[in-house]
Amino acid sequence: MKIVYSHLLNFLKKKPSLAELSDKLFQLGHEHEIEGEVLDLEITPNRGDCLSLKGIARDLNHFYKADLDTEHYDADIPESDFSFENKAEDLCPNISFVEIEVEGKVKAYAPYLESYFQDLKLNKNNLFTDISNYLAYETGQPTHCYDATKINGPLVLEKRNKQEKFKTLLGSEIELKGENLVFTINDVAVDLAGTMGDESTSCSENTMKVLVECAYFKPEEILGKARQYNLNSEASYKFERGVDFLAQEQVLRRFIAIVSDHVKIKSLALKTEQRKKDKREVEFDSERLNKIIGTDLTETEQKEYLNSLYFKIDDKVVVPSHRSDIDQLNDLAEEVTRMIGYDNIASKALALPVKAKKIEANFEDLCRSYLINNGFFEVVNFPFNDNQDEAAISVDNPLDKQRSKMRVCITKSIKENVVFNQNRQKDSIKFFEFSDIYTKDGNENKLAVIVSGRTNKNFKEFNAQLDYSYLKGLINTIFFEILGKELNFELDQSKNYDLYETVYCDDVQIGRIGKLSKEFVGSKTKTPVFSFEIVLNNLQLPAKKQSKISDFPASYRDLSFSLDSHENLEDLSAMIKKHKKYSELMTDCFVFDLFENKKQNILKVGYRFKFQAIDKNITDEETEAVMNPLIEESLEISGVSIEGI
Amino acid sequence: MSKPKEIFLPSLDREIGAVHPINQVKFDLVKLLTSFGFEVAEGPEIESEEYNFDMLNIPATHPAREMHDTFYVDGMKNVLRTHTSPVQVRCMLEKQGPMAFVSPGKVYRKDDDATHLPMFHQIEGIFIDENVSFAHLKDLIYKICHSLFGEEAKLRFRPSYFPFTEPSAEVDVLFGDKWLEILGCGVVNPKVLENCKIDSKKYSGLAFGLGIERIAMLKYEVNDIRDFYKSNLDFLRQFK
Repeated sequence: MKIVYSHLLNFLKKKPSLAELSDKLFQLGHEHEIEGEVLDLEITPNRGDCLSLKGIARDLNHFYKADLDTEHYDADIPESDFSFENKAEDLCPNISFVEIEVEGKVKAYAPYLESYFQDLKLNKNNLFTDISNYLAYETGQPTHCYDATKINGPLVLEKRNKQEKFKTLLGSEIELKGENLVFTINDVAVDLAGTMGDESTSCSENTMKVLVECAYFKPEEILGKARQYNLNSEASYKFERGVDFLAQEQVLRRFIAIVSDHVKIKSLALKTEQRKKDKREVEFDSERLNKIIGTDLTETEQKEYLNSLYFKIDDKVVVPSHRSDIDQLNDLAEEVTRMIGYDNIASKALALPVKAKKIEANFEDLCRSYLINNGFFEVVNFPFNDNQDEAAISVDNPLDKQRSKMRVCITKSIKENVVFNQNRQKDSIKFFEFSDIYTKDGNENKLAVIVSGRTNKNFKEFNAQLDYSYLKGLINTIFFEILGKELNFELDQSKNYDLYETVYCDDVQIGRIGKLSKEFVGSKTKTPVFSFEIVLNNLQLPAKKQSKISDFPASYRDLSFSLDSHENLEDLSAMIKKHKKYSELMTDCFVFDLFENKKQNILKVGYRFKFQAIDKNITDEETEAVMNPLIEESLEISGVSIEGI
Repeated sequence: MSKPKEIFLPSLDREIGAVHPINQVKFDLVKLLTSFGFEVAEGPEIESEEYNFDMLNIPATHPAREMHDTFYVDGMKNVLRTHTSPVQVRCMLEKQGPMAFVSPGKVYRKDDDATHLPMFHQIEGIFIDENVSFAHLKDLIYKICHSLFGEEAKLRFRPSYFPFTEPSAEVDVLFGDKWLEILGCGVVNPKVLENCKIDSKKYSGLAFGLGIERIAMLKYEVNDIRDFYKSNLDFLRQFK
């Protein structure tokens, strides 16, 4: 809301400088920017009462003494006989109308009215509309002006569900839909209540008789209407935030006074309905009020602050009718605190009861550290996409169609991250993302990892490509080293993958690993992309316990197996794993060499076996007792041989 | 004596990666706040309107509940949480008595422009005990801000409006000659305590919330919030 410094000074007895005023407005919570003499205020949504010169002046009363006495038409006004039926008394309990007939032409606007338009660079319309706009600026209360000669039937206020065309007084055409609170004449909507009137009954420069309506509408009834119909309405902005529910007749009397400053009034008639009269009351408790703020103000000091904001205090605090935001002691505490200044409240040392906490590592932290140390970068993606998965949760009001579903997996998101970077000539990409994934089946905490391109940028690894073995080694290492678990994989098929395996941990399916298909990746570059995605729910870190280590020397055996095909590797590996599991002396075994010559159809795999006893030197006989059955069993595997045996 | 050839060979450098900068700031804040005595609580990102709004004294007519500001899912039955405060509601309902929790996490608003994203991160804290006042809140906020921006950081408290706190404040920190809004805070509205079955005559509370992206932008001098979510390696490499 824009107000002009000099206009505001007209409503203050003391005249602060612009800088002083600015400081006080900040203290009161009215954030603003200053351009020349114009203050552009950002009033918080609970302070509808501050959306006017008088409202701001009222808030500054404690500092600069508000001067709210403006000229009003005080004489008795005969009751209007114009026909009005209020069919929505609960939504509009208080409403007043004044009929004003004038004669003569306006020569010039009074200085206060002229400067409103000049200083705020606003366009004039006609006398009555201009006064209505000014009055909203001065008092915060919107009024609506009908050309009285265009009203050809009883005016009815009703909430109705009717689809109808409506041409606003600004000329735009809208179609009213659903339930709307409207003023109608002969069953035709002429005013979208609290938002905007129509063109057919609007005032013009030729209007000589005006019907001015001034109402209190329930804020929730007006809320969202301007936005629904894409209307720019100052009135609805004010009604949504709450106007003074007792001000209607007084505002119309001010309207009359302003009219009489400009033209001769021929006749006046007033109609007022006021059903909502009772002001709110709040229990006053000086001690509790101090406890909320953390001060030791006297009751007199507290009351002085509240009185300066127009609260009346006896046993209870009577809330002024313009303060719709006050209904409890904490609200009053905020008012007192604002008057003192938040920055002027002394801090009080706060000591939280710090409880001793058990420091526990978790899988996600350890896994994140491992990945970072291996050159991976963490990414965070938005959860929206346009997947067609049946389990996907739909967003009822998406930003657009491409973001109308909640993602059902992370892989699609990080795949996009890879493509983004491949398109920027990045040739070594290692990303991971942890995220909760929400579907119709529930929510899962997931980790996805993706790799593409060179293994590292050094002279030994520059030409080594990140591939399926790299990724499989990564997931195996994470599970074995962090959780002490061995994973199982099962070859499967899935769209979007050229190669796909299901991942199992403790016989439970926890995710998938694979080489993404080129079609799915959709990148201009040909570098293959590999990813895994696993569910982390229920993964518990094992309790770490020390086991006895051996001081006796270890013994090693290396074996080179010749294989007919890669498929033999799986059988060989499973067999060796089994032997290791049942042997207490075999403490380690791993593939130390893999040689392949496709032309000569040679495939060799070198295994190293480590033997060590806890309590003694291990003998050759003991080693052979483990190795011999292993060798025998390996040779029983079709397509497996050992050179020299 | 001739030098061994190994010292002339290129070293076998390997790049390490990086935690996402938003998570780095989140972890730092969690570490800081837990050192003050807060416990960490987490909750679902898909929430009921009751927990996201009603319990927090955000009335059905509040603009934040409109379709324009909140993402609705499940046929308008639930929302993507617009703040992490529902986690605090869950904590209050569970614990009833004195408590100190922080809840970090993703939150969602229906915004998407140069300065607003549909998803961002918050960390909110709540402390409930007997005789907790606004003056105590100021002490806590000073401690948080001085830890984040240095002992010399200048703070400014401004009245603001949050339905779940009363009095409510926004806190600005002076950077150069500019005041920048850093966090929102306030004394927990007794209506919220009562909604969560906490005796508001016996207990009072204080609450605060920080936007993690805002802190990260200040800390790392990132000018465009969207940079955090482009996953550009050149950008991410700067946060090792």
